Amino acid sequence: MKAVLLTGIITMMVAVSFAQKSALALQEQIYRARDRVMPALVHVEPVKKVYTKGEKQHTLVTGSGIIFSPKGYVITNHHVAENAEKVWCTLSNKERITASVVGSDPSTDIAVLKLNIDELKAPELPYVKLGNSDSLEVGQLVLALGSPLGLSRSVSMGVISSIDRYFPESGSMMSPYNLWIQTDAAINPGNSGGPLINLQGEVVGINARAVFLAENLGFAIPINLVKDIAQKIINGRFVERAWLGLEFQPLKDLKEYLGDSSLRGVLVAHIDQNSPARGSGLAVGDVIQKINRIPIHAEYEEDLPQVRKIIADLPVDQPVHLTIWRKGKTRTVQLTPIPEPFVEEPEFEASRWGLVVKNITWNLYRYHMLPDFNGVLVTSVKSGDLADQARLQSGDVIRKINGQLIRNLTDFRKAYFELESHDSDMVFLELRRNGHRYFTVIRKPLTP
Amino acid sequence: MKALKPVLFLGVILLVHLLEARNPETIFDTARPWVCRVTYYKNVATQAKIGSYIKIKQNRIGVLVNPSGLVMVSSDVYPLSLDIMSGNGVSFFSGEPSDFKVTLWNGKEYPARFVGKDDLAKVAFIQMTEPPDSPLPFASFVSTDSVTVGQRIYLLELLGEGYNFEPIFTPVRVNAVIRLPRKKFLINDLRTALSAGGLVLNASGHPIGVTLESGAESAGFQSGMGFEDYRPDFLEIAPSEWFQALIQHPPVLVKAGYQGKAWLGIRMQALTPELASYWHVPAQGGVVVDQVFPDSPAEKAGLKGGDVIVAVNGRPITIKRDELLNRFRELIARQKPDNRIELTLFRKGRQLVKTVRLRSAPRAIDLADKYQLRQLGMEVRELTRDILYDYMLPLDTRGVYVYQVDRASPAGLAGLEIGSIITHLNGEPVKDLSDFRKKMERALQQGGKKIMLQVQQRRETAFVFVDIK
Repeated sequence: MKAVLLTGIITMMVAVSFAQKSALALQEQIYRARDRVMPALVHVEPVKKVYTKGEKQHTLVTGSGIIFSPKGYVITNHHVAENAEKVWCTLSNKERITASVVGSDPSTDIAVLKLNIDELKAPELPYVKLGNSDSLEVGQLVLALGSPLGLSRSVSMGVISSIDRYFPESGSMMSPYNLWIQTDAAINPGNSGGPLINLQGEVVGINARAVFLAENLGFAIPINLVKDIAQKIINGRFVERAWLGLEFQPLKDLKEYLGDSSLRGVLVAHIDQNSPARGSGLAVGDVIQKINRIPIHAEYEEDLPQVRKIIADLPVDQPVHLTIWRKGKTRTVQLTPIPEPFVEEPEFEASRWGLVVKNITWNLYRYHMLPDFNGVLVTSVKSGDLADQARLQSGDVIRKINGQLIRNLTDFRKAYFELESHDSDMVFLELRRNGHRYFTVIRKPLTP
Repeated sequence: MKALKPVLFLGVILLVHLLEARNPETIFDTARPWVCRVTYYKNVATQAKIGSYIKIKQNRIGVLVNPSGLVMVSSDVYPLSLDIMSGNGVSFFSGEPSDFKVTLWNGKEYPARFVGKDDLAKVAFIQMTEPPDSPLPFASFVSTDSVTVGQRIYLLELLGEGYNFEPIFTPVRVNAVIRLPRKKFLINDLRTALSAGGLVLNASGHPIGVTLESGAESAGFQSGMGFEDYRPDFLEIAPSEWFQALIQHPPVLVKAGYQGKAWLGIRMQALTPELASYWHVPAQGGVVVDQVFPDSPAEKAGLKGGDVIVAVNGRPITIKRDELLNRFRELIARQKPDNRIELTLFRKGRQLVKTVRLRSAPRAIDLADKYQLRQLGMEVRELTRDILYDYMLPLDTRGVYVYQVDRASPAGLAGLEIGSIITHLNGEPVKDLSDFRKKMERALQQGGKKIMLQVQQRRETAFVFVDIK
């Protein structure tokens, strides 16, 4: 009896000391991981231009970033860097230098900055190597680094709650090409763009967003996608994607409806009227099973981003072969992707008209049922100025100026500068307002 | 004797004047029985269940307009737009008003039914179904030709429930006479008591009009207005001319074989001075045709987008601002549905004349035939032209319109959305409502796990799989 008790006590003592030891080890691991990444952490303060009622204003926002190359490239979020006129970066040694925006991709919320390293006083620039997000596991311990709500750097710890969180398109939370890493490590405003690291100190994700009013719900972009997009941005300023004009639905419901559990592929739900897929022989209701002979499958909604990404990564202007299943029979259709028709560029201020415009977006094209991809969107009208007098409203789409087609922001800029160089006193605009045609004339007051 | 003549003459005038301008107490006593209270229930569709409505009790001021119990009220008792002319769009959550009752001056209550309404005149008519045997006292409206600014008039309205619906009698003066786009009177800084539809009497106690819902007529009253458009709380009065003819022939709400108002079939904007000068149109305003609806009278007559209408039947149109476009709409709506009208147009600098044979406006979705599927939690309706025009879809689009979906029902859970058009059921095209009903009933009988619907939301297609287990 005594012996049993003694054994018990000894076992307990061993267990306690072991736990103490492993806690110490964990603490050590956290310190080491922190020290590997913290020096490359950057506090990002972009000076953004925003237009309210056509009036240009500047705001200072804060975010985080991580230096990932000795040349001074920094990864942050698109929503941190977008519309930045100037970017201030504070490094870990408190040095404050400027950076330029190399490129930015709204669809994945990734942006790349380049530090102006000639401003740097320190002899060397710290940087981290980006890790691998494919081996992440739910329950794995991670640290979120950043400078939330201010200058001081912070580390918070949590676990990976999910590795395949999918957001169906909802408001600004659009992310068609990726799934998200969900974590309970505290991600707050200002943490955006900071790294999510594992206990080995490898960057596995970029913190992007928190859910307003929710607790312990943070989302990070998997680092493998970040690496891919960052490389594309560095190579070519913006990310070009191939486009077929298809919308998909997962196969689960169709399989249940058909009673066919072995069917594989993805369901074609919609074919855009101005797309390469129109007239290719593909029909709504078809199931695409292979893309260039490589099998694809989307059982659930969260399988869709991967399919979209495969298509987006196809080479533009080269034919692609789709193997489709239609009512029990398979066939092949061939079509040629075009570049994604909607490119996000910074807004343009036509200051002499009191008007701010930008390129049309995909959502606008769909919602207003525009006949094609042409036009620019009015985002802001300065109260009392010429455009306002001509009753232009934000939300209007300018399709023609003096009878000439305006395809995009480049066309608009050209037309604007040309008309202004001639000092034209009347500018005739053809608009789409809520999808419907509307005419108006911008007329300059007679100069005395 | 000679001196007596002018005195006598003066006396006669004084007497006539006294008879004419009766004292307010007499006017009130005479007019009181003409005004009654109309109660009814507004039916608001619930999100919870297809075909179930929340009933909300409403009170309105009514005016008896004939001896057999016809009562005139404001048209807002039935706010649904019945044709696409009104531009009010589609309202989904309102059923027909029901359980009408008329309470007379003596407190006696009588059942009544809805007869019809006229959105232009802004009045609706209620008929007492079991009126008393003896003829009822009623208001007979007179012309307002002699009503001028500064004249004494009286308002006879009812107060709200807090004051037990007691009558309230207010002597006021006409503060403004508005002539365009149509005549009405304004009273400064006054609001309606219980509701619109209060009786307005002239100085001698004759009914001359009714009070309007505040802001009902203030088209173009928006937040971006200029300083000069500032509008305090005017009480607006509709003169008898708006509705006099309707009292003899009240509009009748007939759903089957609906006879709409005259319709031209264009989307339009005003010819601003800037547009006129850019296009060199020598006109003091007009209507620019933005879009011509397919298969409309305007299309048949050869109107085109970009045309400028400057005159109707030789009478110039002086509309220079979009806010005044209702004048043109009313001008068309006042025509008989198969009238011919002559439009003077400018097209690319040339003047031309086109004769248009108007037609009645297409039936709107609110009056369309319906099919309620309580089991699946959805209501679909016949696909009407207004939807096709609004969504800019080809007129040969076939299918049914999703009018209502219960949130937690099989249809709602499957993601079916209000405003979609169902084009296919289990892969077969849907021709129309009866075809859909047939195919749906068959599909439900056959059983299985799911029904596959192919829908079109605006221009996008998608599949919806509804669980029927």
